[in-house]
Amino acid sequence: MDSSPVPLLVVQADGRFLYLNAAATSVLGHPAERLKGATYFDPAWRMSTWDDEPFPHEALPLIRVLRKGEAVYHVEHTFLRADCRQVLLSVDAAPLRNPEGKMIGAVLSFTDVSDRIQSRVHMQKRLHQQQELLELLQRRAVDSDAEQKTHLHRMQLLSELAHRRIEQLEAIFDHMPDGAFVCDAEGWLTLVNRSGQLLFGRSFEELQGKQISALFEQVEACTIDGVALSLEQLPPTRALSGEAVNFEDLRMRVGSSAMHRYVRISAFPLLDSVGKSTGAIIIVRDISDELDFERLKGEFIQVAAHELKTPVAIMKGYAQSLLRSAPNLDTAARRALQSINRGADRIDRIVMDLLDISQFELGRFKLRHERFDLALLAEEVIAQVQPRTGLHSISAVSKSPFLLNGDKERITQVLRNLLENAIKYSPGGGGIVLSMELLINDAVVSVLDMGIGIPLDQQPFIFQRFFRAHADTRHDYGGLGVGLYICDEIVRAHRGRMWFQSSEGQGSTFYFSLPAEEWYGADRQVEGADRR
Amino acid sequence: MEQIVRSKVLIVDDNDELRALVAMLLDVEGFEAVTAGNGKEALEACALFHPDLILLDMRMPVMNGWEFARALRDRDEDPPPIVVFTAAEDCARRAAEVQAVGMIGKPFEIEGLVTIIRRHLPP
Repeated sequence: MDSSPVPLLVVQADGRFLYLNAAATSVLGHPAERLKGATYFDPAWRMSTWDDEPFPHEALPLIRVLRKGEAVYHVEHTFLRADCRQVLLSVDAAPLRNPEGKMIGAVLSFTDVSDRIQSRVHMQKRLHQQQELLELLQRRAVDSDAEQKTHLHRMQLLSELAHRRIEQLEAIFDHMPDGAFVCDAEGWLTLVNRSGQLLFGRSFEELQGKQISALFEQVEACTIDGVALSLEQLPPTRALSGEAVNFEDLRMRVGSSAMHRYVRISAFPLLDSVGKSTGAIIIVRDISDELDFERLKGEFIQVAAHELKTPVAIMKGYAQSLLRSAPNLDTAARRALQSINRGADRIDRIVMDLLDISQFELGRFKLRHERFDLALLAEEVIAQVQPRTGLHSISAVSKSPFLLNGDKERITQVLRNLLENAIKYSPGGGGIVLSMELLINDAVVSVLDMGIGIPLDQQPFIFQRFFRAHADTRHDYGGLGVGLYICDEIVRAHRGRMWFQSSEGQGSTFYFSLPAEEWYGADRQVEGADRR
Repeated sequence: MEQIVRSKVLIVDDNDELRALVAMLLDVEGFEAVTAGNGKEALEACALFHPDLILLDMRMPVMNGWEFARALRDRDEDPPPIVVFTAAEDCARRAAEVQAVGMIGKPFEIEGLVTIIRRHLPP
């Protein structure tokens, strides 16, 4: 105990100091003779809370241990040393029992945590003190020379400036709609703004001196889908180890009603000038309403799209009926009806796209798996699409029959979309090549055209919803801009991926891969097997 | 002159305009069309007219397509074949749920509608 680096103090039940080790004497900052036989309750120690209120008697670690008969941890109070420096101590205390088991006092261990709290109150106090000092010096400097006066004046201005800046930052910090938490390098909370307190339903007094990770554990922070997160996975822990966390969504349980709230969290490490961690800042935004709204929107789109189908069916039905039943329609009437028919088809395609999108967003998109021959399917799709263009010749290159396990209708959708795009964006005609290949882990399908290609600055956004690379150019063919987004989602749902290569003026090749374990190659194991 | 017996198709859909359209289309194609606005009316129509095939919308008030199909199977030992007629995305699944012989979506090509009806009419 004597040589332990941890400060230890043994106190009798009546408060008399029984024993201190060297570390304790050092931290408490009084000569050993002064401390020997001293009492815990000596007012000279000036034990107070960190914002200088006298420390409540019942909250003193010794009293709490004596009352509860159990250890207490992390109680913080100040202590005045002989050199008039007030230190902030974090005290753990445990009962001291005699051999018969009767509690006769307590063993206290403590740490000097004065530098832990850099709260605004302290900073303000220091600034006030600094300002007072400056004013004092300035008053005394009335008789000294002008240069010194100017110097003091400048210092005073700087102090005022710093003071105002701090007030500004405090105001911003406290009025931020997002919750903001600052902790030190060990994860102890040092600052929590008002929104943060509201979010967790706790006041700063309740949160101060707590571990930030404990706070997140208390609210059962987990992923949006309810998957539990380990301590290391929580954003605050990651930030404290130096990682910047950007906009990750979590679910928490807060409030007495224990409702789920959804939050978006960013967390950043705070580093000093040599790159050492001094703590972290965590920003938390409540996105529960946003998510609710998204879900409502998704459901609305679904209902609206569904409702559109019947009137479109009626419109198309009558147009077709007239076309069929009146073979001697004049050309104008015929053209009008065909136009109505095409219009109906167009609306239907848009409706289907909207339904698809709402399904993706609501997480309701489902695949119907079946086994089918991709090579055969490709031929069918080409046969459907080829008649629509006289300018292009679409050919398929495949090295074998491709048996695939996937949603045949959806893969058809992808193939058709890619082929239609290839036609659309090579207005000068030319060849379009659809190829299929088995690479070790994936089946890769590609559609190549020699058309106008995609400008480089548009390329990063190609698979984004509603993005149209050729909007407002002479190749603007209208549309919602969701075709590739939907294809990408379909391929991803199959656990594959989509990508492309494109050069403006030269053409594009779009690829998608489907994981090989999902398909059964007819003869992929055997080299040179008969492929009939 | 021989009387031509026309095949009877029962069209079940809650939208009256759509019912009228399909009835007209089928009439032109040589079928006898009967309509019903919901499952309950459809059950009555089946009892009265003994259709050869039923074109069934699924989402209807009073009694929907699923309830109708179940009630029909409970009542008739040898019910007429059902072709599901639906705007829903998962029409294949719905068709399976009511043991339909086929399905057609909305909007539809007249050619497609006629083909599927002819294909599933009892000989």
